[in-house]
Amino acid sequence: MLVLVLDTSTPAVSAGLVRVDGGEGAVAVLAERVVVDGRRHGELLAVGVREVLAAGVPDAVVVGVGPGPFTGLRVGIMTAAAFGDARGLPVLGVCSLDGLAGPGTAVVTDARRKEVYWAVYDAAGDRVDGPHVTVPAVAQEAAAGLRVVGDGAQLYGFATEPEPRYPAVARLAEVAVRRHAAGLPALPLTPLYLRRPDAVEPGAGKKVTA
Amino acid sequence: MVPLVLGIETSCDETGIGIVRDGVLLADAVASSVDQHARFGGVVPEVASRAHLEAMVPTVQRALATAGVALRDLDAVAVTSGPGLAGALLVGVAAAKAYALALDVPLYGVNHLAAHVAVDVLEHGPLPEPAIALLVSGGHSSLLLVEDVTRTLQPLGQTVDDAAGEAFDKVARLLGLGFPGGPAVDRQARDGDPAAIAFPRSMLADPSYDVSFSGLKTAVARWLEKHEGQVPVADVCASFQEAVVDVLTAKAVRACRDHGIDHLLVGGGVAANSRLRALAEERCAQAGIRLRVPRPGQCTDNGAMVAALGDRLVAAGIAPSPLDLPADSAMPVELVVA
Ligand SMILES: [Zn+2]
Repeated sequence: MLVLVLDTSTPAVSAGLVRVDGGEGAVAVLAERVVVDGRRHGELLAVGVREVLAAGVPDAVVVGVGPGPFTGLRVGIMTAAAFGDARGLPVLGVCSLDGLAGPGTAVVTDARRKEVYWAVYDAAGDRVDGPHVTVPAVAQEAAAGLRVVGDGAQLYGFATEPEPRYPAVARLAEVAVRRHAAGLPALPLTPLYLRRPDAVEPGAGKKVTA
Repeated sequence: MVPLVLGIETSCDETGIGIVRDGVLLADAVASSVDQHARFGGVVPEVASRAHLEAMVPTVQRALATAGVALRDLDAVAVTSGPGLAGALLVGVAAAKAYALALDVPLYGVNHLAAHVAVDVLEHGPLPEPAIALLVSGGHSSLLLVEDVTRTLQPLGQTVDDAAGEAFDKVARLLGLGFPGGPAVDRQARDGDPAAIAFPRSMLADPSYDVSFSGLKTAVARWLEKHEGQVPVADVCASFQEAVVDVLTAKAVRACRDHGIDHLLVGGGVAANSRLRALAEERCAQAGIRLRVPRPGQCTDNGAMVAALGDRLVAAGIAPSPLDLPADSAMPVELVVA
């Protein structure tokens, strides 16, 4: 099965065409295009998709639904949803942090505003904690003794390995197909909005509670 | 073969999907998030962006069902690429790119204001060019010279502060009439006297084609502060509304005269205002100008206007947009296709 994979949860604008074998779930990346430019997701993603489509015709679409900055996430999710709609393909949402995960790993990405998104994976590589958004210190504590990866861990100086920094398309495809084969539901095609929106209703004064 | 064009509009709070074939509107589906904004008293960009993402695919499907066509039948995709709310535009542009790419058809990133002009074709047939266009809404108040809607629009004047629709929203809020303010003020004004209160006509005598509504809004607020006893809501609405439409129609008619043009097109959400329509008709008749105003449902933001413009662009053989087309919140009106 060929899977078109998109992720826009970090400054990396990623598109890939990945072959996933039904049997062992072995994955092979047929084409991949990653450009790191956190402010141009909307301009770069479709161009990347067009490039990787030269390597084959996808049977399904997988998209990282975050957590990450909302503006970029919406570009990735909207692209995946519309592409799937146009071609009549299933579109599977996955947690973007899973794209950096491995056995016994803490994944920590930059959430801006002096916070990080993070999740913890057990020895089998399954997510057992998260995704969360917190100050870096909380993530660092949860990551103690684990392999620690991601651009957030890099930024705050507690990564144990320089790579990966961003979600990998092969890993996202593998996770999505494995979950699908196990009968687990895909994530809905909505960004993982871990934060509350900034909009405040007018006149809703602050309540003073004891 | 006559091309079938999909139009996508997400510049503000309406997710609009239109389908047009050869100047004929086949579907016009709109999902509005206006109810979600009402409690904030105005459009909240983040709320609008979320709503566009959720509404896009279902609204496309609804439009296809209405038109009785399938996605694979489409020959082109047009989308508003600006001006408008940046995050909201981005969702529509991403969707349009993905549909165009997946279906292998050309993509047109179009100017929202040009689409407001082009929509009139659906109802009244080919647009006589050159024409003067007065576009008034919550986001824009512009006077434009339209020589060829598929190539460029020439700006003659615009608001120097608030858009006309914004002034309606603000006055409606002062009077506790809710959001959006345009329809509410229009309704109240029907029972009021437009000459009851002499609100200022800002920049009416100014030789430019620019307009200003900030001073008028302040004048209404001052008047309400000073007024004792029960507020004559209908008279305030009628007098305020009269001041807005007096300036808009006077400047539009003057622009026609100055340029020797005998067609005026009025569009945008505020063009649904009954008094603006009536006064424009009266003044155009006096000046020997042919007035064209789309029906109220097509004055507000929708996908039909984008599809209508896309249809014209395809017919005119205009080159499509590149796939790295950006969403441009400040897209200049001179640029019809990005
Ligand atoms: Zn508009």
